[in-house]
Amino acid sequence: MKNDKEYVSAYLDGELDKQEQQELESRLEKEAGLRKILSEFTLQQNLLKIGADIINSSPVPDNIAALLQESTSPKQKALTLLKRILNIIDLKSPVVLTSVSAMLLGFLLLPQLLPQSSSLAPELHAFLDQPGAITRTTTIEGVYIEQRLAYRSQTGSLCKLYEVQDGENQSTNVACLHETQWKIAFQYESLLPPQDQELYAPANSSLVREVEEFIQADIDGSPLSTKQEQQLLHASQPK
Amino acid sequence: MKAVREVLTRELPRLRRFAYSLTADGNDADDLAHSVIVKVLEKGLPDNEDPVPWLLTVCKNLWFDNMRREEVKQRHLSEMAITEEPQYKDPSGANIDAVKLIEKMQLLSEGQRAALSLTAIEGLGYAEAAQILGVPTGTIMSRVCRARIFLKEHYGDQQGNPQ
Repeated sequence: MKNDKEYVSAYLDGELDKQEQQELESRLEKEAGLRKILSEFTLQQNLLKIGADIINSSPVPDNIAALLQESTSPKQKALTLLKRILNIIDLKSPVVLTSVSAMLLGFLLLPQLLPQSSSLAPELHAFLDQPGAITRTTTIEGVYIEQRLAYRSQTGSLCKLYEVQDGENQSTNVACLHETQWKIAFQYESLLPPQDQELYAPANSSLVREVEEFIQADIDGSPLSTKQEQQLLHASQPK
Repeated sequence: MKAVREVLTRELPRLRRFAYSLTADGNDADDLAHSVIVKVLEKGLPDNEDPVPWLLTVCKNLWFDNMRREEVKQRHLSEMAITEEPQYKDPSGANIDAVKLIEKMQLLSEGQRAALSLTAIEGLGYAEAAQILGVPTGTIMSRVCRARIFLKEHYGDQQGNPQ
């Protein structure tokens, strides 16, 4: 047996059957007390809806937004970024894809770990000593250098992924800062495809796989922002 | 997994709203919504079923679990504390009564709060709410009504006028 307030509450929620609804509506026409209850419950309900929805006027927190994206872990984020920066073009033609893949397979060299810092020119040292986190470029004696990524390694060193292009020769490198010296930790050399192909290394090439594997094993956390990179650079300066 | 993320993205406003109506705290609500998303991404969604009741059920269950863990804290909630400025600020400042009312919901029992949230705020029918809360439909009807009366009698008419 419902009391009046239960009837009104259920009426507001559309939960009365047809007969109960008609009876209540008939009483509402006559009874001011019932109308007052309905009015109060209706106002309350509107306020509840408005109040609860206010949370949606604040931004979705970063941790929720990250969960709703495909890549979530810092390493996955790093790899996604790597794929984006290394995947320079989208290969559409199967014929081109086949020919270019064959060409690249023929020319790509195996990854080669170079002896320590002796191979780095002072100009390259100076370039790496500057912060920029991503896509910072320079040209040293006709050799084009582009920084692609900065990160902290598992051992706490500041490391940078950069590309060097000298004519048809290209190398993808990771150099890490040990005290005040940049030392090569990874290097992959390749030949660029002919210019008339207007193609670079496809995203699924050995190059990308090798770089991904190296970074995945080496990175600690997410890629660095310019500010974070600057802090690490500053910390490594001689006191 | 892509489909699950699409559902979660689509239903995120509802999930946050429901979580906020349960917790009455913006940060706690987003923490709760985060936990729900983690759980759903881990377990997936049921096939061929409306995902909304399922999401709300997961949310309610996690909230009940949290409430049990924080039972002691809840006991110390006083009417004095929540009649002060609302903890969660409405950026526009235009709906302060509405925010206060949501915070006042903390003084309802868990069952009343969940029933009122599902029906009055989310617009679910009593039968659907009963299924989510695992109680008879008649219980939802009485809980919703008692919750409305409690809010009205103890905290004025939501326009600042005490009864």
